[in-house]
Amino acid sequence: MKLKAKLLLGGCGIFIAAFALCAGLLLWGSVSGVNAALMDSADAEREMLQSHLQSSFASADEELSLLAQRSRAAYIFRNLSPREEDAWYVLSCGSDVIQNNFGFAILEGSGSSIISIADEWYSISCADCELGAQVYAVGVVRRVTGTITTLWQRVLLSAAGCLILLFCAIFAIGILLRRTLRPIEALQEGARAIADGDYGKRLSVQTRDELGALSESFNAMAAAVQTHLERVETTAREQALLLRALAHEIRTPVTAISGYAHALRHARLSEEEQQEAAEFLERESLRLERLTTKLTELITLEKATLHSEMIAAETFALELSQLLTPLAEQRGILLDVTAQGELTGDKDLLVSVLINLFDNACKAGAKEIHISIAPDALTVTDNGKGIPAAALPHVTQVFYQADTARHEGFGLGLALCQRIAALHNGALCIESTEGQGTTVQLKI
Amino acid sequence: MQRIFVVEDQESIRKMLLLHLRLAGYEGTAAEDGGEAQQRLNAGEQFDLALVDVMLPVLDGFGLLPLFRERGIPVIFLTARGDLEAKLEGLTGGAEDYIVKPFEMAELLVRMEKVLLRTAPAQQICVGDVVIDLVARTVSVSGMLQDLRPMEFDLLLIFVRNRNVALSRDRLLNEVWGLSYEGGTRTVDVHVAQLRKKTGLDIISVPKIGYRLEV
Repeated sequence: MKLKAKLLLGGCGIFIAAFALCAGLLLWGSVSGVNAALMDSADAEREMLQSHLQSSFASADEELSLLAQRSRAAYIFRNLSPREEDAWYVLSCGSDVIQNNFGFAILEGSGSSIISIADEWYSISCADCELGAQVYAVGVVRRVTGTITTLWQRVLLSAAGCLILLFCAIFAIGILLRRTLRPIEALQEGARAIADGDYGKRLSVQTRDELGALSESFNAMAAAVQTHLERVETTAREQALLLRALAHEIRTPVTAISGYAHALRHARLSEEEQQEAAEFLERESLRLERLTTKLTELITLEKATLHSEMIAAETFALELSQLLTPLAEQRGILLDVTAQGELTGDKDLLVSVLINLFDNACKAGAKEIHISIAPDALTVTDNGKGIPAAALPHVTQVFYQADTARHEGFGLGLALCQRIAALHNGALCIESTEGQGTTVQLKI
Repeated sequence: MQRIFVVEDQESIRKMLLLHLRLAGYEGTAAEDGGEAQQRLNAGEQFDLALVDVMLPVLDGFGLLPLFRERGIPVIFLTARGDLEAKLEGLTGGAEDYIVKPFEMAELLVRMEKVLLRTAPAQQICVGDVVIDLVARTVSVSGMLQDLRPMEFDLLLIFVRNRNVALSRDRLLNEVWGLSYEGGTRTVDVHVAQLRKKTGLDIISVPKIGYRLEV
């Protein structure tokens, strides 16, 4: 059963019960009030008649026989009782009815009541009355059909009014419930939409109650889910791209290796050809090895913890020169390393950054490379061919190579540098002018 | 001899392809990038088939495709891009075939042969002083017509199309007699002996593998 139906049924049930009880009590009160008033007036009339009867009778001679007394009482009673159309007066003594112009025999004992005889209503008041030596019963009957009918008409009218009011109230409760529960329906729809994959769905509940707060929380949750999902999707996309790039990087050398190996194994080659095949085999397997090393570095870097230490810039520069100078001399490059102050960081990782940047500068065809080591930044400046402005935003992506015609590297170096920079809470800034050179700065 | 144009920017693969083409009896020639390939095509060079890498500097393989199509040169793409989109783009663009790296040379050669059979069937093949007429299915040695049986002729074709490459007895049996042939590999030995006698070609036996035609 729906919440709305439950609330409506429960609420209306309780409401109807309370309303019916109230209305019943009120109506019953008014009916019994009118009845009491009718009986009171009948009683008053009877008492008046009785007192008149007693006072008239008392003045008579007491020596009368019982029969004479009875006749006298009947006489007085007849004279006293008014001639009215809707009123009847009854006098009896024991089982002997002295006067009864009312069509029906009257009860014994005393008291007052309202009775219904043949579609007519009568109020009856009876009492014993001592006259002389005998006890008489005096009764007054009044027809009250008009009053009672009016009363019941009013009761029915009120009941009908109550019923109409009740329906109006139920209708109002229904509308109120609908209004109140609309946000819940919206919430349900929203939740279903999200479950069906529409993660952009938001609710527009503007009430200032708990439901408003709930829908706000719901929206916040949906936004969080959406953001998270987008992040997950982006990561998945990046990983797919990475895998594709990796597959490409591996396929080329593998094709060459298998091709030469096949030729060496199955074909008769000249000395020269054999030599060439062996050279290519070596070159391509070394390439694969380098790729594996770089990838391993990149992967281990993901989980790496930083071994931060104070590094004296000058000794750092000295070690670096010892490492790089032979390489620079080999390629006829002028290398210049300057240093000042002390810096904090992971020495091995920083060396790896500088070697990568040096390597990039060499590949860019630089003739002069300047490395500067300062407390807040490591800078490598070269006069190589530079990076095209369009490629600049992508150079730190894994496997990205601005110069697709060359196949020396893998496009992993700058990605590696960026990771190391991030580990140091720093940033990698690359400035380049095509044809003039590149400056890469690792800010710590 | 059929001329094959290799457009591949990676030296190792380019040289490897040329080596295998030479071994298989084709005349291979290569360009390093899309630009060079374009120049040579515009200069009027004609080829029977082109093996083209998709990712090339200057002008990529898809860009080169119309140039080859204009000249009626069939193209087989060689690429590391194995995704369906690239394959569809290549094949709907008019390439004859699409081979994803890493590939086996033997597979590439078979596919090349199929394409060449469709597009530019060779009239004759010459190996030294042996001339094989593919249309008339005749073989002449030093101008003298030799009488070869059908199976011997097919076997000879496989040898000349895989010059200097060792071929296993099973492969020979499959390609000439078909997979359903019940006879043993001895049949191959008998036919090879006949071929040696009739053509005088240098078909040597390779231990543990099979035979190789040396040229």
